[in-house]
Amino acid sequence: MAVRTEPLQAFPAPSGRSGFLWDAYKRMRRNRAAMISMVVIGMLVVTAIFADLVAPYSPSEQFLKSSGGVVENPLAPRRTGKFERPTADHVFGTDQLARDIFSRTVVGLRISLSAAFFAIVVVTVIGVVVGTFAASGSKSFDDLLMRVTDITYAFPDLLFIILLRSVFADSLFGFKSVLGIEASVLLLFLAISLTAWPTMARIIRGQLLTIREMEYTIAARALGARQSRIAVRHWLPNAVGPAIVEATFLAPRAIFAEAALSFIGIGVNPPTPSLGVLISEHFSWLQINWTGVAFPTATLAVLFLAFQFFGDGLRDAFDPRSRR
Amino acid sequence: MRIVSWRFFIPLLLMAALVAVACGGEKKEEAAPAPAKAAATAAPKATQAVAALDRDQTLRVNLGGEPQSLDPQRATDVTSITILKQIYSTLVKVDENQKIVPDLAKEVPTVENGGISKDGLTYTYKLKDGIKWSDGKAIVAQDFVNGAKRLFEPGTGNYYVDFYRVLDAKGKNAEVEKALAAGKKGDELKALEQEVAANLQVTTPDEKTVVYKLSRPSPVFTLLTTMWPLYPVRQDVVTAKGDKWTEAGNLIANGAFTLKEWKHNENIVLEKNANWYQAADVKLTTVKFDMIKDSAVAFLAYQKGELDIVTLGPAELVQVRKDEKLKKEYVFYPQLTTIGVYFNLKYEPFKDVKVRQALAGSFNREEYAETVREGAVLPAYGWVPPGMLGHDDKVGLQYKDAVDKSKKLLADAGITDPKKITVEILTSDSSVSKLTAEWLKQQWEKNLGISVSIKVLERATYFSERAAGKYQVVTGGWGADYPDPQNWMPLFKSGGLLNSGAFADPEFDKFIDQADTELNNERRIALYKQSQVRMLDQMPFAPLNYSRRNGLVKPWVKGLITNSKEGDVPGDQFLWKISISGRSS
Amino acid sequence: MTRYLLGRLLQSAITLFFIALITFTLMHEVPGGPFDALAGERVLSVEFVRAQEAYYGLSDPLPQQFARYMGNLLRGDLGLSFAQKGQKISDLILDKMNASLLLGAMSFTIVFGFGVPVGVVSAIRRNTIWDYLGLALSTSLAAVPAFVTAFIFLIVFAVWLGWFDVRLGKDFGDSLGSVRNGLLPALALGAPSMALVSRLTRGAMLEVLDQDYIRTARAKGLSRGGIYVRHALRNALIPVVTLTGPIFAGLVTGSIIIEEIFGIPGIGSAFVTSVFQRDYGMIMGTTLLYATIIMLMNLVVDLLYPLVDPRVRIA
Repeated sequence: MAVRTEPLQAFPAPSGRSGFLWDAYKRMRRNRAAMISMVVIGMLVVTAIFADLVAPYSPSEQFLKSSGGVVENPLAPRRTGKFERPTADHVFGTDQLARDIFSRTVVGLRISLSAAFFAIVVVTVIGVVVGTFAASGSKSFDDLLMRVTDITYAFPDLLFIILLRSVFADSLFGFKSVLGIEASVLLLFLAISLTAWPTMARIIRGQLLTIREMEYTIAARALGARQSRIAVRHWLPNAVGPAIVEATFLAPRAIFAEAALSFIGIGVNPPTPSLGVLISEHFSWLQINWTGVAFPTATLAVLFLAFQFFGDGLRDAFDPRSRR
Repeated sequence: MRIVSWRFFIPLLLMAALVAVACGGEKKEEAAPAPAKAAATAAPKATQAVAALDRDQTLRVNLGGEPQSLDPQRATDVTSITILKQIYSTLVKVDENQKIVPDLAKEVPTVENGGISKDGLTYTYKLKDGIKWSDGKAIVAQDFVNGAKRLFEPGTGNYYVDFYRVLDAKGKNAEVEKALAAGKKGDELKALEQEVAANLQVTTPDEKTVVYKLSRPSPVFTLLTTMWPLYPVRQDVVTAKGDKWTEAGNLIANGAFTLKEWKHNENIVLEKNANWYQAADVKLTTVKFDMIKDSAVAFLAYQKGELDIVTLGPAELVQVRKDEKLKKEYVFYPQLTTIGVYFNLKYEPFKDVKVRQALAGSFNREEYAETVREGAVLPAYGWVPPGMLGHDDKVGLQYKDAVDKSKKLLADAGITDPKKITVEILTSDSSVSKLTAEWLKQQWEKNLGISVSIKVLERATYFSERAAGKYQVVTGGWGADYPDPQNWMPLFKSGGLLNSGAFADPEFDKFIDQADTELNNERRIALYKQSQVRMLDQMPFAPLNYSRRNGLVKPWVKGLITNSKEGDVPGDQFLWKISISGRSS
Repeated sequence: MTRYLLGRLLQSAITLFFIALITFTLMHEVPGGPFDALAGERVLSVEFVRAQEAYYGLSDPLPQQFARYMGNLLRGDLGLSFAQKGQKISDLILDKMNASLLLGAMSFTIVFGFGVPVGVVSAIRRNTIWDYLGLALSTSLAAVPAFVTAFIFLIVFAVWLGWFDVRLGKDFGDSLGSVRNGLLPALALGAPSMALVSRLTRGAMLEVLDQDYIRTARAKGLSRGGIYVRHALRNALIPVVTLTGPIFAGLVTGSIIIEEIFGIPGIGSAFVTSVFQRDYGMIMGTTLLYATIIMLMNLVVDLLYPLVDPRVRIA
């Protein structure tokens, strides 16, 4: 454990945004796991953006072969083109409709990644705003907001998600797709976000309640700073650590939630292959076609771990008190 | 032999490598315990001379889910009916050759033996002597009347009641229909429905005779009396136990087995009913039904020797194909089920019969059966499936290898640029329907050049959209309730049970109306066959496949009789004939 | 304190009322009714549907139906199930509650029993092999969707090693002996939360270890163990404690997929089934039960809060 050499900071980095970010970046550069994760995320994002160029085939193209109608005996050996082992033509093999698993995984990555970012933005915005207001506003305002979070929070997610999915069916305010992503995918993730924000709001609020009692808040108040100024300048940067940990967990959680929903049968429309759809679709063929589950799952796991380590690195970097 | 390839571990290993943790779990192939060895190798489906019987006569099968109700008047789902068949006997039953034979009645009523009146409106059944409920009480004719009355009570909630509207209720059924047409609701309707139940013309001239009076002749009424909605019921038990009367310990029935234990959503245990009239022939002492929903898990349980009989899902079929030992335990046989593609005639371009014919002729059913479904199903060109009275393997063949013809039909329909035609397939979220929709999309796009999209909805939403006719194309089909084309062809009549796609063809309807009341069997079947030709020509529904049962049966299960009309469990129509011999534990 | 509790209970009742109202409205808003779900592909006769609606009172206006439901609810009557005909909702729910609660409790024990120590060790031995190993173990389990983990567990532990029955869910929740069968499902269920807890503990612990009072304590020459347990851990647990409620509620109410795979007859699978079957009474019943569990857990957390963090005052 290093011994503190700098003077104690009562007020975290008030010197403007670029400096704050630059400091954070400098601190993060020293964290190897976070830097590797950042590169991995970057590579995955680039792959996702250029999915159409990376994928050798269309994700819905079927390479079924028929050996001429062997239907009398189900046990007769057959070549169907399905469940091919990885070859040069199909590097991840083929699935239950003889589609190229690699192409589907790449396209699935794009859908899942964009959806995860979408979820992060929605949850963070709602969570931070509600959490901050709850902790800094008047008592009755806090109560009101917390009652609203309570209701959202105590609401079983599944019903809510099925509802949104059913009411809007396959279009979002009339749009069948937004930015090339099917509306049903966005809806699903919107629904997931709308059920996930209370956790974020609670973390922010809980963190702020603790900070409120700390010395520098009292000091700032004593110096006559306005309540809103205290909230924005002093509390938020301090609450940002837990929020980022929560947000980094959210990306894979959103993708996982979608996978789980696909598994019980309320996922996104085919032929759109999100990673979750791929895993759950291939899941019933797991014992005869391991590649179908393994590659999308591995992609998901890489995403998951990268977000974990990156988030951790960010947390350490943003936290002005953390020292190596 | 191995159950799962070692490569199964690759995703795990990858993961482990990613976080730089050595994961020491690589399994050797022989780690898989071979499922219990079997002495016998003979195919288990034939009835064979029973060798030395095991002491433990317990059969363990997978039911696949929780029955909705073990109240025969309330049950509508296959799962419930599978159990009801084991614990109930009724007047007459369908045997393994699809013939009607006596069960609790002395004989099957016919015009010749006086059981059916000359005008075809009165059916008389005489009960056998000495038949008893599982608690030893005698079965009397009134028990059948009680069953029929319960079926018509408004609170019962069994849509099979519509099959039995032919029963006379002093004209009250007609009044109900009128009231509904006038938009009556609520208490008024409830009262009328109660009157139907009260006035139902099912009578008992004496303790041993049941008489059903019909309001119009029905050639299939005898078949309808084989079905569960008319099973007898112990009104005293229902009254005493209320809603709990179907629970184990309360339920009194009259079949080969009785309900010993029912742990909801877990299992059902049946034991031999000593009071059954054929009890001497029943060797099994216990039947255990598990409720494993996932076919992959059920397959694992079978391999581990926890189940004796299991139904295979598509993935498990592929595994069986690769396994010499499981291959010997494999059984397959046709089921009376047809699956296909419905067109909705309310919408363009399906209003044009040529477009429907073009779509019906441009997907390759053989490829579907062989590759997509791995041979688990048979390609279908007709509506009435093989093994069913009225099946015709010559119909619908104009749609075989007809891609060129179909393109021409599209052109004839005035469609010069097929790309402009967009078709939306509505599908539920079940994996097979999704797979089928994706395959159809590819076929139509490739063969006709039209554009196809897929809309997936959650089950209940899907069914309501479908019933409301809010779709262009859906897949689906029908499984037989009883082995007669009357259970099939009228479904596509205007207002028929499956006709949500607004198909209305006067010529087809005429055939059906004639056939439904024709008492001469040959003429009746001929009329149904004609109606099928007409239907396939007008094409409201393009057949895709006939279903098959694919299952595994342990070699020690003797005397399994498979049947094309069974429910959730292979052999479930005649489980009582099974015995266990040579089980290795 | 009593006043505070009464106030909270009143708030909970209001929240429950709104949840009931919203669920009721949404449930009837979703396309497809109970009879669509039962009928499957059949087109039901108007006759049948009308008669059924009349019997169950579904043809009345929605506000009237809601008022009737709430009235019955106050009398403890949850109504009848459409799908499992004639069965009382309250009986069905009670029947399944054991399994879900037991599974949730086991999972909860695993999550905090392993998650917190792993997080603490990771923080104390920061950037050593122990840190990486602990995190890697907890996160790699969480990096695979629960249903994949669950199935792999089944194959490895039940089929290959033969330690468990394939039908793990059988008899689960009936007796103490069935607890053993719950291990795999509980682990599969808890894995994601365990990762969350260990990371959160690690993060909070690191933050606390950097605080001045720890330095002071260390400077005073207190033993390391004493510092970690009495000063650091206690403060680091604050953000973790906020999560106990949600996590417990999440484990009890989120076991849907695990219940399906392992065949555990709990509330989760009953809830999914009821949603798919549009079994209105069952949807309302399970939703309100879930909501009650979640709110109860939050109340417990808020009561625990001042115990671990004396700076926070109640009421």
